[in-house]
Amino acid sequence: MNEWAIETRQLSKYYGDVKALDGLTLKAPKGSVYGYLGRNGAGKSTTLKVLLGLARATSGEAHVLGERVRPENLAILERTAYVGENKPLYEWMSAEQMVRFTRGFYKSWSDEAARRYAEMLEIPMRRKIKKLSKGNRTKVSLLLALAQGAELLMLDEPTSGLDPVYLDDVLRTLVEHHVNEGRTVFFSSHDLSEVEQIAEWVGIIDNGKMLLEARLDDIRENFRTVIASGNGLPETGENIASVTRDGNFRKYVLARGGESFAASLEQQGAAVLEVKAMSLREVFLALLRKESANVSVEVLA
Amino acid sequence: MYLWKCWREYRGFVLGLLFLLTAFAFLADYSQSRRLWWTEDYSRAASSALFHGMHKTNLGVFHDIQEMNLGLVVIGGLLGALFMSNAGGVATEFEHKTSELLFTRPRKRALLMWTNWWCGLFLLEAVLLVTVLTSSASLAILLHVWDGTWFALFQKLTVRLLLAILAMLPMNMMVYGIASCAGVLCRSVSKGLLAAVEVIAGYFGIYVLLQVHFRLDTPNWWFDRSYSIIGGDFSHLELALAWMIIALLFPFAAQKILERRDVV
Repeated sequence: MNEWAIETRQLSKYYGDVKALDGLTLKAPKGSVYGYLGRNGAGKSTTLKVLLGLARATSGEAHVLGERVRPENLAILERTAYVGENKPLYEWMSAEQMVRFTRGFYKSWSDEAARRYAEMLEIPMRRKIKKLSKGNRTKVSLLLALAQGAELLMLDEPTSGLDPVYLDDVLRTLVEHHVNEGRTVFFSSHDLSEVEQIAEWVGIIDNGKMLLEARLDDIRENFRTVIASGNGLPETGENIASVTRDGNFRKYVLARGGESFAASLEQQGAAVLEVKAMSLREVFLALLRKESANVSVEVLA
Repeated sequence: MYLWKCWREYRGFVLGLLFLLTAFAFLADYSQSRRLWWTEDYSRAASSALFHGMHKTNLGVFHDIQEMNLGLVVIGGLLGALFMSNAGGVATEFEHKTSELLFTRPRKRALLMWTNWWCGLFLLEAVLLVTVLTSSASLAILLHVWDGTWFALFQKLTVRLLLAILAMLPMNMMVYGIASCAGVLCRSVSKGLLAAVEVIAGYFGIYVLLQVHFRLDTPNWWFDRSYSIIGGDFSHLELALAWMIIALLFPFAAQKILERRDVV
């Protein structure tokens, strides 16, 4: 049986001349919480839309829950719940009516789960959507997705614009859903702290390309910053994710083997000023502000 | 539940159209029936005498009532068809940015589109039917047709109005189909409405040019042939069917556009 909830190979998508995805290769394991990181316009939303058949890929292939992605693949839509970036809902309906409208589409819909999440998230179910705050709209969207009983939850910026209280509620609900039900949660974000809070796997995308895909624990364990000074320091090398130059100083980000790399620099006569473990934020910034980056997406997978 | 959503979105427009048409129909019936004020002695003998004595006037009044009601069915039907997709067609999903929500439900886009389209057409025809029946009922009450004096004329008028709904169905389907297709093509109900008006006006211009200016008979379905059905002549029924089939090509085109379109 396929171990990947989502798998793409060399996936590209062009909107006219604009390249939204550029040979994207991504693997999200089943049963994981996968944080999909990138700047605004990096291609996160496009990835989700292609995976759901809302947009056609220009080239490459993708599978979701073992099903090949194509427009209107109902087998994927039946098993996948999606919350879009703008949380689209029918303004004239109440949250209760949205629930009644949505449940008719899904065999695996759970009224009990809908009730539970409505209580847990304290959603005013009888109020019209147009009168709900942004936070409550997000909660309604999330409730509709969670009560579907879907194997895969795909969320596009689920927490954008939420205040810290709402944010905590939503993240807690996602983790509980994942832990209790053993489902896959794939969510895009540009907020590193929330990804660090709940994700097990992380993918970092920029300009439609995957820069890094790895377990969050592996990133914390293996990524190192090495600051060194000297002449003739290497600009490229195995495991060097990025290099920043400042006069004779070099700041290296290494995907693994930071200590041995520092030792080899010292052997070459360089002065190693610092070898430091990195947080996800530092890795993210290093990859996106890179002067050169060559980390393989397979490096830690 | 999707059908329920369609109904809820069309509801305001449908009820508004129904109110307007029935109000106008009632006003037409009321104002014209007042012309028969001298028949207010509704006793069978008196009205029968008046009926035979003033036969031409009676026919004239009934003819005017019929024409006013026919006008309502025709204009109401065409305007209703034009604005129907504006009220709740699939194009509104793009306008309200809910297409992403709807098209990630596990249903074929074609099914969603056709469900919506047939729902709109059914509601439009239902409005016309209710208008005609309400108008006939109000006329029956205003003229006390049960006395038997007016009944034959009343019956004929009602049948003609019901046939008018049938006769206008191809045009209503055509206009509604064009408006729905244009809305999906433009991803906007207002732009779609404008495009539909342009297409229909263009068609009418060509029709006038060929039929009136050059005296060329075209297989059109304007009032000349549709009027024959209202008169009980069904010799052009095949042409009406052909027009309905052509009209269905527009929502079919909308379906194909919808299936190929990226939701962004």
